[in-house]
Amino acid sequence: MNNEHRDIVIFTGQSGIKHEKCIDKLANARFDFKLVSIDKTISEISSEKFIDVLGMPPRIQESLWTKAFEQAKKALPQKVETAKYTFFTSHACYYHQGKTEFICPVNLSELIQLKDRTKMIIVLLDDAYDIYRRLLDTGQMYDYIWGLNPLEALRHSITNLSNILTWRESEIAFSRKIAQLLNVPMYTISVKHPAFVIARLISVPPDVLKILYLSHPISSIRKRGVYPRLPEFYTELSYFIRDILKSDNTVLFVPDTIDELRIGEDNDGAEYIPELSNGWPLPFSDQWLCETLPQKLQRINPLNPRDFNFSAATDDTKSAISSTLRMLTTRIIDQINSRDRTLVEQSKDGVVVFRPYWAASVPSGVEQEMMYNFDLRELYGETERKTYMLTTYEDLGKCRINQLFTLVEDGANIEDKDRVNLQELCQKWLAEHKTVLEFYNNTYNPAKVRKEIESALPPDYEFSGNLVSSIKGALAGGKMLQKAKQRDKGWGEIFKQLRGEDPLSRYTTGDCTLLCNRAKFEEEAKNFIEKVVIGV
Amino acid sequence: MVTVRKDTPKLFFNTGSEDKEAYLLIKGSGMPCEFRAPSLEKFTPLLLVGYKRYIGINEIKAFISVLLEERDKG
Repeated sequence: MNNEHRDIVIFTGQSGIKHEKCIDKLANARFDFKLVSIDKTISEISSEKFIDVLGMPPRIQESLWTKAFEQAKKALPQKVETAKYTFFTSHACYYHQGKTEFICPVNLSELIQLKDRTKMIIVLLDDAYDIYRRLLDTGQMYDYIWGLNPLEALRHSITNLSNILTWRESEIAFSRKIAQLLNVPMYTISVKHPAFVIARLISVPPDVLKILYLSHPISSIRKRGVYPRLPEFYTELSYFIRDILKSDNTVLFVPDTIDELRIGEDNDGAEYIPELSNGWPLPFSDQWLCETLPQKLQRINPLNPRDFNFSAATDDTKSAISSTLRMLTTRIIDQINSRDRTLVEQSKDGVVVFRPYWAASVPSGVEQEMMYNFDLRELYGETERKTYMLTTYEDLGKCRINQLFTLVEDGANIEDKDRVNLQELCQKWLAEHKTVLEFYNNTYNPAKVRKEIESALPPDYEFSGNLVSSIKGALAGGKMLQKAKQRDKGWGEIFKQLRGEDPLSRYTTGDCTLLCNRAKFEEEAKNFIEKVVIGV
Repeated sequence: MVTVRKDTPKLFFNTGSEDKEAYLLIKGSGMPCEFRAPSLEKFTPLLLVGYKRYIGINEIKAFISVLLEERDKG
């Protein structure tokens, strides 16, 4: 497919995105474009507000879509001109207001007429919470909430948020089908990316354009109590993103631009509460594609828009609300999984992994993204893909220290008070640079390590039978000897696990990995980005 | 040739009671597994089998019990 002379880009996305306002932000791009809104044309043809059209029978909606499309087609320039585009906007999926079902109004047999001129489909996405806030505004589809009592408004809101998630899935599924029909690439893009990224995606020739996905630990960083140095991570990540995007020919998809897994929990984490924690800070907020939410909408708690007094509610009510929030959380997790994998798929040049062990732990999300990128390359023939990983000796060394203490805590039968001793020793080692490096390069002395940890354990500690049962050989001898042998086997098992390879390195290749001292990381990362990742 | 991922399952876990139970359950079952610890994810223990995810001790127990049943059948 020759993409160079194609001048149509189709923007889809669910209601609440406000396509036209997003596309206005592309006005500063280095190309001309004309915007053709199918939905606006439908309103004009029908002389009805678009929200009222959404209550009409599907047959009428489809007919209006076809008429609007025919009219829109007339606005197309006869001749394709370089650096000039026509942007079509249309929802790929309507949420029928009367039937409460999802409908695709798009007339595919009409749309296919644009096949030779269409360059790509862009599905615009946003946080479900922000979509919902916009749709709670006066005259929008969920403004009825303001007439409900606070508890009912809360219950309806959780259901509405769940519907918004389903709607987004349907919008993406229908858009994918349109892209397949037109034989063009489809990109799902959060409107919290800077506008210039979308401009690059549209205008830079595909053979020059690099499209990458940013992978980094998220959940572990959020455990604020455990890792209070969060601003450091955000700041470093922000600079990293800016460095990659310095090249005019690079697009970087940032997963945190949709940030929904932040429903509050009570103090012991047992129940969900209808509150949202703060979103992930992102760079370029003054250049995002989306329009900033008006203050009055920003102030709305989308989980509890009418401020139901949750803390004063009965235990039964709290429990019921918690259960529905748990179901919403599950839906959100499923969508994170699907969205992140879609982002990996559309990033033709692969994945850039930023300090995966920053929180001295192994992030499952990062591993799954690396694994998927690896499979697309190795199993499914996308041989141009790479996995770039940038990390430090110290991160990996600290991760191994934490791993050691986790294995001891989980493998030995110990009381809570002994855990405190272990955790203190663990913190001490994490703070010792020499010890951290010894764990990074596996030069620590196992006998010495065991002895020090045993000094923090109760004298009669034992390892669980499950830990040592898999090890062959009978535990012969007297009781004391058996106990000593059991401990030896337990420690042997723990050290065996500890000495394994860096678990994520298997998904990369040598020339795509930067591993260096923490003190030199910023400088080395900058060089690595320029020379290896974006190839300046 | 297109194929699908068939590699060793991975357990992401920390030091909570469910994490410990999952870790020892898998060790005791003899199922080959790579252990990823500590994992500070929102939901642990998490067992990853290819791309299939089993979250929490109940899902992991169910997966192991089916696995052991199949193993016993030979």
